[in-house]
Amino acid sequence: MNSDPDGFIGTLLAIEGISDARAVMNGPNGCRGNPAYFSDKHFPRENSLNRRSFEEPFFFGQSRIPCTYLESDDYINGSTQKLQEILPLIAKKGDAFLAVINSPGASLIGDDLNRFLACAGLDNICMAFESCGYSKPFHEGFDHTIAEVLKWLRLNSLPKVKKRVNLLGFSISQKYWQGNVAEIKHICELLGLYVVSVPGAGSSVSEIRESTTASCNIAVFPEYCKKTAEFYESEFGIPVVCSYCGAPAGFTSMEIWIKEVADATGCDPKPALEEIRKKRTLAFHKISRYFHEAGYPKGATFAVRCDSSFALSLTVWLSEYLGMIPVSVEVMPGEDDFETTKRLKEYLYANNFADVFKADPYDKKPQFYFGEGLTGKDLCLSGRCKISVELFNRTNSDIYFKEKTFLGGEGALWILELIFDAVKDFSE
Amino acid sequence: MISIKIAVYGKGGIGKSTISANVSAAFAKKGYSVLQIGCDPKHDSTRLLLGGKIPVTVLDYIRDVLPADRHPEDIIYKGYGNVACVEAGGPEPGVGCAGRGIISTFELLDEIGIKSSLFDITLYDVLGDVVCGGFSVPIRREYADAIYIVTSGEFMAIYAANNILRGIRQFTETKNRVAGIIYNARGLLEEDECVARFSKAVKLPVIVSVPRSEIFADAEKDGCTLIERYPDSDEAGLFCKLAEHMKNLESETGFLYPALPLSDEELENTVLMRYEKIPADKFRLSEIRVTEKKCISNSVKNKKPLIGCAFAGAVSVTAQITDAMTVMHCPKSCALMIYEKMLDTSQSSAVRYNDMYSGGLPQRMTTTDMTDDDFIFGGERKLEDALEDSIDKGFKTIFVITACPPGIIGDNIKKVISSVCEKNPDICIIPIETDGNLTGDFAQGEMDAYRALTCLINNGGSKNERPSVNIIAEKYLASNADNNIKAVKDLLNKLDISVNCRFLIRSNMDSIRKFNEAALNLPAYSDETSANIQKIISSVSDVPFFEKTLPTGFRETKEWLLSIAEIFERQDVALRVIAEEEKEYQKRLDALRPILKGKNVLISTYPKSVDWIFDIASDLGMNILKVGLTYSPFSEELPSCRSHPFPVEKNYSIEMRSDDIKILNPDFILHTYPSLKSSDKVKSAGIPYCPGFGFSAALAHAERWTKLISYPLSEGWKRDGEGII
Repeated sequence: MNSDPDGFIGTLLAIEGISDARAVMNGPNGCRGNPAYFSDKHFPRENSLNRRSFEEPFFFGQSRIPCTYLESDDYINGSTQKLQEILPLIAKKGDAFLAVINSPGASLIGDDLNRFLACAGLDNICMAFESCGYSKPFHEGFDHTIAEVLKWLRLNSLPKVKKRVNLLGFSISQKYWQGNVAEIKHICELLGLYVVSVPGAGSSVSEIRESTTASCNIAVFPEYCKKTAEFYESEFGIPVVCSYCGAPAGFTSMEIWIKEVADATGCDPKPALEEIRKKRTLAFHKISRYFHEAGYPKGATFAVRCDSSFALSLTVWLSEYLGMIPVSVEVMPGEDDFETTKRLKEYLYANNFADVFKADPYDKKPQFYFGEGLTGKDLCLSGRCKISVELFNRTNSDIYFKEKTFLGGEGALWILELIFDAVKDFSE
Repeated sequence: MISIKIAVYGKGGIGKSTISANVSAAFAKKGYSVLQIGCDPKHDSTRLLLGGKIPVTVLDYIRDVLPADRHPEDIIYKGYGNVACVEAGGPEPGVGCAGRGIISTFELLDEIGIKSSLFDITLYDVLGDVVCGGFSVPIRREYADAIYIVTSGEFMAIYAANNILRGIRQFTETKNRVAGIIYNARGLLEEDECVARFSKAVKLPVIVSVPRSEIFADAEKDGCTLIERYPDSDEAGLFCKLAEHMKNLESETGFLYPALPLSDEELENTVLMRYEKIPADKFRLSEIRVTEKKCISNSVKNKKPLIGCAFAGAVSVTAQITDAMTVMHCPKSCALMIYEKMLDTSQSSAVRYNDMYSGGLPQRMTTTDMTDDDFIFGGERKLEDALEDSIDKGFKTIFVITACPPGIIGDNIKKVISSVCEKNPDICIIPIETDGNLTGDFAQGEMDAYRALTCLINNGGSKNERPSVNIIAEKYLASNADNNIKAVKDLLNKLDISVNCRFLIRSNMDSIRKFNEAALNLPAYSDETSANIQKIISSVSDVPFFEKTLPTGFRETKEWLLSIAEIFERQDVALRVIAEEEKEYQKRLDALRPILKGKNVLISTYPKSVDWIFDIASDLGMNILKVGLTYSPFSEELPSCRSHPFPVEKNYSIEMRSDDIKILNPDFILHTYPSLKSSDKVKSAGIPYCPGFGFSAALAHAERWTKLISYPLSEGWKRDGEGII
């Protein structure tokens, strides 16, 4: 079994990724524990010391994602009575909007949530998701939800302003999501671009409302924003740019990304490229001094399991920049037919790593595992891997205070730091 | 162009489809564009329009065609008079959820652009026997503007009609939606009167009365409507009249009525004219064999909000078995929530306490990843595949645990298991049909799983040569569980007693089968779930239960050890061990007394055994001011073997605790969840979920208290939170 979250979690986290929105689960208490804890941990918005008491209805001691705590009777009689109780209470909390999200079981009751919201006079601050991609890929649930939110918000078509962009495809499920956004915003600044919004990763509703002033959307993680980008394009004529190299992880991908974005927006790429050049020089000095006596990290084996756009750039960079050897490369469910997956496979085939795609890391025993943390830790603790680098947030992922990133020049340096800190202990 | 959306509801077999098809044909003949959507799993609504041909249903299409490849032309068929025909269809009878299927049908039609706005008339032909959420979809405002109810004079047809009115009432608080009754006569005695009485009682007009006529059967034989086959017949004229009525709904002459369903009693009186109320006889259970009563968790018993779900509880138990597969029949997210927790506990245990990493969880847990499609068509095939796959991986024992969706749609788990076992007679597959939280909370699931596991225990068998014990119901979700048990094993070892089976924490099938080879069961805890697990085991095993739970602190451990030693006749060893431990205990107490003696303590905890705190506080000369019991869904009473000189207050809220901190002014507060507020100015320590076992377990905590009591009242970082809501 793997630990991939599904489209249902994608829906919940898409809403929770909007800074002033709140997901309300129409479902049992057991379904909301993990996502509620996740949201509070990775996007804290309230004073944890003012924690709610356990018996407070609908919240049960957790600050995020209140729920209707459906029980057996509700599956027979419907959930509207509990919704009638919960929504007016939560609506008073001052969120910009609420999204009622059906748990898998609740979706089978067939309650007409939209009708209920309209009758209760709550349809102006509350939207509903009756069916939410249960067991479907996470990115599908996330993307669909953001696109639906944009529709529901009835965004105005505002005059386009040059050099204003939205960043699409970021999610609070990604490790260092705030650092990642900050790094890409910084690169955008160097390009002379102003980031209007990052829907689903920290932007508020008012920022999202302003998003239609952007002259271009940048799909940083295209898996998470296909529908969203299509919506912006079809409704507001905002074109989208998406890098050939995938997500901007590693120096080379970042440089190509900068040139592509600069091309699409008519910006000067030089200042941003210059910054990456400096980071490359810094990395050179460190690497040239501290590489392992046995040559590591050259020849160190690694496994990757993540979204295809990130897997592509990371695999290519680790292989070409550091001479590391991929032994297992997996993309997330539902991404097999993506362009980035095809390019990833082409790269592996072209470099004699054909058997690496979808190889089982438990069999391959990589020295480094880049992917989901629980699996990485399981590999390490069972002696099948030396170092696990967590790429996704979990309810139980590592705690960090200083914001870091996997993207851009800063991200490249951080990945190098993780690798070099580990290989110093490698023995031959 | 006009735009009228009509739903025709009625009991199965009442003639809705014949009426709908004829009305559609009548409209088409007048030149209107018509869309007819059959919402009945029988998928024969449009058969008469399609010349008897069977179309591909929307639900078959959803099942077989990828979303990216779906096109409207694939599911719309051209019927008589160019009527656009769509059949929702349904799952195979006996599996899946037909109501959910209707919801999915409407979602798909919206997605691929089949909209009523493209047609003059949209007619929904809907089965009305079950007015669940799914079959009510066409009543929703965005679909039907008006609803016609088809009935005959048979009681069950009228009963269904009344039930449909109840359903409609749920959706029509502000606007009338019922157009009237379509009376489809069966030719019964006094049938007209019966329908007339019903019509009067529910204040709805009978729009048309369709007489019983042979020509319907003749036309049906040819697979066509009366409008097509006998266009000049009187009966065809009735459908034209009905179509006219529907068309008039758009004009001012149209009139819609409120849904005013009757109570069952009114219905009996009005339709059957049975005024005498005869109570039904009650069945006496003593006449049949009453099976043993199931153990029920506290939350289920008292209908409290359920914390966690039975599915997760059961999974957390079966996944402890290191050589059995747990198949979670559920959507991915259900499986993930408990899987994450268990994997994290196992990893924390290894990292924090340097325990050996047991691993293997990813390999012995799997999920069927049920999707929306499985909700409609049933997930039995996926379950069968998962079982076959587990068998291929070499598992001989497999547990199947169900989440809400398979429970709601009624997947037949036992049938699947029986089919797989037929092919694999040496495999043991055990179902635990928790159905998510439909059967209860986390604790209920644990108990259900324990009950299922007891069937694996071998009957009889000889006792182990070296005396051995089973340890019962440890808290396996505590990452210190393995570490804690070391002290118990160490004590038992001193008495030359081994552990036969940890029932159940990281145990293998062999130790479970040999459960009865132990001489004694040692319960780990005394909470309600643990007590229920004892009851479950006692019903199938003769191994006696020791009356004391695993001990925390000096007093408890001393008494526990002496009692065990007495049973196994090792008192001399026990006394020697106690004497050695006592010296060490007193020495460590002496070191703590200067700091803790005389300190006033407030305890705020959910109801759980904290006797070990009372003991160590007493030994150290600390004063307990009060015990406040916060809310717990699992128990209400404070389980304690001690008599208390201090007050115990139930329903202790955070606010009451804050007040007590101000009023009682304690030196120290010991508390479980929730943590203190930033305004609570008092030194504090948490009460652990599992404080550990053995002579020195309580001392270790007290040693930590001395440090916390010596540190500043409030850490600097807390001040930075002032003003943050």
